[in-house]
Amino acid sequence: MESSYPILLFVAVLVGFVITNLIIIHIVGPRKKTAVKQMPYESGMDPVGDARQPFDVKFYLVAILFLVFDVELLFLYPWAVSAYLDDPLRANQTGVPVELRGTVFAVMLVFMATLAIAYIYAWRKGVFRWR
Amino acid sequence: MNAAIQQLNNAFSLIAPEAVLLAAVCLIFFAAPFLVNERGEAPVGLRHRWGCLSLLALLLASCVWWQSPPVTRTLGPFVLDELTWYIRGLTLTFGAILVLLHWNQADDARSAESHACLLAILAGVNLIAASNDLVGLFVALELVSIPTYLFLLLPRRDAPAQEATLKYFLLSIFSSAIVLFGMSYLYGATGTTNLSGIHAAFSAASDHRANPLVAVATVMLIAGLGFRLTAVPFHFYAPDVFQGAPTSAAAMLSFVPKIAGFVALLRLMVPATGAEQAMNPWTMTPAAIPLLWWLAVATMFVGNLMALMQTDIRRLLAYSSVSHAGYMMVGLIVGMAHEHQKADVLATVSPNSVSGIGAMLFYLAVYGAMTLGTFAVLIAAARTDKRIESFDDLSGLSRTRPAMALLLAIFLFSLAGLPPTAGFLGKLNLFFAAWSQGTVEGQESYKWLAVILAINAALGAWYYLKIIGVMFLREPINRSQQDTVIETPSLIAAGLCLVGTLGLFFLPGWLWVPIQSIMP
Amino acid sequence: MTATVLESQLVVGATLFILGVVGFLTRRNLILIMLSAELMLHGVSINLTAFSRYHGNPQGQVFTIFVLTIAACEAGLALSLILSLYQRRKSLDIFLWGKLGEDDLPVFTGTPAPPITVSVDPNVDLPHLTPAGRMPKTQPGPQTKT
Repeated sequence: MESSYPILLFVAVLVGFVITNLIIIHIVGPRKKTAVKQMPYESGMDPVGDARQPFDVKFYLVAILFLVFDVELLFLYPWAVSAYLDDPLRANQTGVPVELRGTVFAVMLVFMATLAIAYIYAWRKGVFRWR
Repeated sequence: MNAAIQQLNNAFSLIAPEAVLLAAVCLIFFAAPFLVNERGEAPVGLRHRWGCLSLLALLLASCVWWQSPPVTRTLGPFVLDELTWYIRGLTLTFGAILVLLHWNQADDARSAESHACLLAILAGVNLIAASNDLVGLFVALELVSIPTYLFLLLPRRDAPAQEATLKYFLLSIFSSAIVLFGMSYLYGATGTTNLSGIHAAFSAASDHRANPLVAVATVMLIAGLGFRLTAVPFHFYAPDVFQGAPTSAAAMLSFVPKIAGFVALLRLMVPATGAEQAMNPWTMTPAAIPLLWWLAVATMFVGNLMALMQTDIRRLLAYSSVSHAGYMMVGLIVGMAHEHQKADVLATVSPNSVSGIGAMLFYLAVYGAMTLGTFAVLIAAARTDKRIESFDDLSGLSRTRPAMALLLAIFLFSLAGLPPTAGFLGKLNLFFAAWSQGTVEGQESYKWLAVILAINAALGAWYYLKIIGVMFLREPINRSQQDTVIETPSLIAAGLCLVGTLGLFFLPGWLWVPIQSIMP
Repeated sequence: MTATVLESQLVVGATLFILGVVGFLTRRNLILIMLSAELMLHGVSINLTAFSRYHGNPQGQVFTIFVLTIAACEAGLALSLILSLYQRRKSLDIFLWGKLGEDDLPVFTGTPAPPITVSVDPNVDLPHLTPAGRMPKTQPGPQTKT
């Protein structure tokens, strides 16, 4: 039970932040009551009506690009967690051995460089141009 | 620093040729969009530069390959034994031929991407041969199949190519999911993803009952990899894809996925050179051999009988590649049975017999030379307005382009297995391997396999000779001298294949010696 | 972790895989076929993580990460391929892609699925958002959503 106090504190700060922000927005924010502003979901497509309407192709391009790039996190996250795990308090958890860190870091650099090349390719092909 | 960490640190040196190829892929993808403008227009003749760059990358990778001889067995994620070394040589050689075939297939603007995809596919095949881990094996298999989709679609983006890509794509992801399921059960049964670890776990198994998890894994792995081999009943996509895809992509599909599939099966079922083969019901071999036996018989018969009925030359070559996959499966089965039996100290092993796996690896090289040669002639003999599709396009080729007709005839002779071509020698090796295994007590079914192989070789000769008859005996239809294209790269490729097809008949030794070191 | 827990996890994984196979083989919509294939891959992911837990080593989890990556790559490629196919046929029906095949076999077409219509009460005055981007022109082609 001792160890869960930080989580409780975190939840309290979280809820407090949300409530404070809501109150501040309510007091400070400007109000323009147009029909569009009054809609419950003011983004993308109309909330009422046929949802199966065709989209512009550029949305698909961004979606595909996102799909590929968000996967890089899958590799970066385990690396970030385990690469320098030599906290003496958590001796039972084993991270990357010291001798391997150089190799693993080089591998991650190669991985990021490959992604950068993919990014440059997409940029030169005009994926990011919003026309 | 202990040995395992040292091996992980040095793992890169085991895959240096693939690193060269993948670096070239990155370079092409980096440079390509800077040379093609916004509207997709490229300077004229840009494809020659990409072709040269690909050849250069293959040459560099070959130098690295030559400098890295097989090393002793490691426990890390990669292995560099004699099999890896041999397959690398095969891939790099035939990769150069494929680059030549693909030279003029894609237009200047899209040539870069398709050449990069081809290099990535070749690197993937090499990585399959070099992988010593289920994860590496799966990623390498995907490195073969994912660029293949692009390679099928990019050169010509018309409706048939799109349909061919769609069919290949859907069946490919289906089959890789099945392979993956098999791998997950293999991991579950043995508790490790390392292939040496898996084989060690098989040897150490004390429970002498067959493991259901391993049996399921075996069936799934063979089903999924059977798709890459175009083994019946997983061959349905092959004729349609060959028909719709560009010629160079069809040539690639007829050969490269077969190496990938056979090498993956070898890596999974047979321990690497020098390691002990386990001899108990836990291994995959007892479940795999009967399954592969029936698959091979079905593959040979369906491939040849369906090829007899074709009028489209590409569909015919697709079914021909199906039947040749069947022949090579015979070698694989016999080799697996032989290895399994060799591990049993009590059994008598017939000495001086042709090794089944060796015969299969030899046939793989021979098959590459003859099938890529056939496709090279199809590309080189095409007309400016129309590629070669039906038999009519080939009729009377001996009058209009006699050299082409002669080249094609030699490759078809080799595919049919007639002397003096390497195809004859390859089939003979497979036959003797199966027959000598069949003479062992209790293994008579392999004798039947040898007989079925011989029957099918005869069946196959019929339709190859039919094409030769069309070329030499019929009158030319709608063909004149002036509308022939000059396809120098394909002609060079055809010449190289000719050297392979005839050279391996007269001097089989320089391929047979490295093969003998794989399965001593 | 006991074998019973492993067993139930494997059942979930195998069920997902089988559902994926069934969906893959029975659906007509290209996107749903692709999603079924993804379902198969993720059924395997459950297998791998369950075995990883059971054996107490992280290799299965590492394998899962790679499976996820490959699945994302294939999804990206599948979306772009499907998009290019849609632009040619203006439909996602897979039966429109059966031109290649044996000459003497009939081309199986099936009946096109009826278009789905959504009824909105025209009397209610709802606000409309300004559409983002250029709205693509829609052809009155067959709209198949199965």
